[in-house]
Amino acid sequence: MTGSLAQAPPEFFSAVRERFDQAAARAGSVDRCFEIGGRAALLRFAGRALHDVLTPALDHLAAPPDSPPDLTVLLFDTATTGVAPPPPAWASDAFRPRGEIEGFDDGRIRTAFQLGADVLLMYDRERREALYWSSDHRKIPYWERSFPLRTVFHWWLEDQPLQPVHAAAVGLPGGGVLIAGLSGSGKSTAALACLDSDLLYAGDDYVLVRTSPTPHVYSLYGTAKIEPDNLARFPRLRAAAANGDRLDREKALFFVNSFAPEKLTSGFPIRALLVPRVTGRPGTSLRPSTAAEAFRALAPTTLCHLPGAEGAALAKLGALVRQVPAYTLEAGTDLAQIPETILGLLLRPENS
Amino acid sequence: MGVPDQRSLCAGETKLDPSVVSRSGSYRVASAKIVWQCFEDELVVINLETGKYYSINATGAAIWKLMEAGWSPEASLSCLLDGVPGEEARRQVLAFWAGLLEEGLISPDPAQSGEPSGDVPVVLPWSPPSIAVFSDMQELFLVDPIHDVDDAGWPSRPPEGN
Repeated sequence: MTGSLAQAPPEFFSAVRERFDQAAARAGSVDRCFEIGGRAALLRFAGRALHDVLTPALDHLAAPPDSPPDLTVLLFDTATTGVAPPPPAWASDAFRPRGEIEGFDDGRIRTAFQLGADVLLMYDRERREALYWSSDHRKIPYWERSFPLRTVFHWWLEDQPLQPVHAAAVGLPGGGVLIAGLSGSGKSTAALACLDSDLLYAGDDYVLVRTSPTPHVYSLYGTAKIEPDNLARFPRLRAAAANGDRLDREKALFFVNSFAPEKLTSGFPIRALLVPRVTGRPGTSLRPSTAAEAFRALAPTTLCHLPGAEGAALAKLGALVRQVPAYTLEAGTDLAQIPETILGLLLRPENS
Repeated sequence: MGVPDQRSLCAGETKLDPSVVSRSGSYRVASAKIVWQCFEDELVVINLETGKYYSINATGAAIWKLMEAGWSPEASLSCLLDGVPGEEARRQVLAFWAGLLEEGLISPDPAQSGEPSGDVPVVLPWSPPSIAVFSDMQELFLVDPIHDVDDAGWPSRPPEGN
């Protein structure tokens, strides 16, 4: 990094927080509580605009407004409130690809700038308080709407046996599966195929896993995203796309709460980890795999998307894959066979 | 995306040059951004600076452990190839060290003597060390993080972007 810091991280955090207070005083504040991994998180918005963009993904986790929060997130945008944060306290070449700001993590204050969404994120570990700023809520891309605050949740839960992971999750109340893989690997297709079955839906892209005392997955986002080309396989869903007028440039985004709220679950014990492989053949089957293969499907994509995710997150993911059996999900073109195959696994005596 | 972008960096399939390896020197993991987990028959290494990740077989995992413990490449040869005949096996081990260097996963560690220390991992039966390189996450790290910036210095793009 070139140049020196204009402000130390705690001072910069305080300066941005003061701007949030000004923004809330101007535009009014909107409070929403959500239950994240069994803990209450309070989201305080300056004005309604960001609220309306970011909360549909979390609506299924709404908690009573008087829940004592374990995390408080203060969110504002300049377009709505007319209030901007101070200029960056770091040099222009300090932005790193994962969003980290080189030299701007002092152990207490975490900072990231999410390129593409152009969102500033900060977290004070001592106060368990986070800041979220966007220049304009209309610039928030569809993918940020599908998994808002994933980085804040990662920072908040760093010291707990909890980790946001890049995976889908479907199952029954007594147990279910994680489906891990790269974007385009078929995990969203597999998860969406389960909406027409007895399986419940915890997420298709990011979910929260608990690694101890027993493996468990918590839903984070009641959303789904699929490539527009893939929509033809889900004709019932087409009208439910939240961005149906933008499918020439965006994946189709769905808020499952808006059309199938009964399918959403807050979570379940994890019985297995599946790595999908699209076969092109009609049938779907499972093939035993290894913990290392499951780890390769889960860990690099999770760590590479989360600023500051390193040893602790790696260890949690390693612990997870060592506790549950792994399978390759040989996913076929007959979508109905995907939930049937997963149900068959979950109904085996060892998983009930 | 969808299918991992993978290439093999095995001793027999590449032009890795064992002469780049200092046989009596010590090496260390090149950066705190390089993290790994060891499984029963595979070591998975992730470079969080490049987005590349690696699947290393059991023999390679044993070499990695020796490297971490401060063993030199030469010392690793005597440990790993005890009872394994042939110059080809020596070349494969040194080429593996060269592969770790080429990928930037290890760097010379002048603070260590290169003398054997610590537990000796046992590898039986012998198989050549290998690395599979996965670069499907690399695209994320090739994005130029310096955007257009607004008047205050914050990265910015038009509303219809992405």
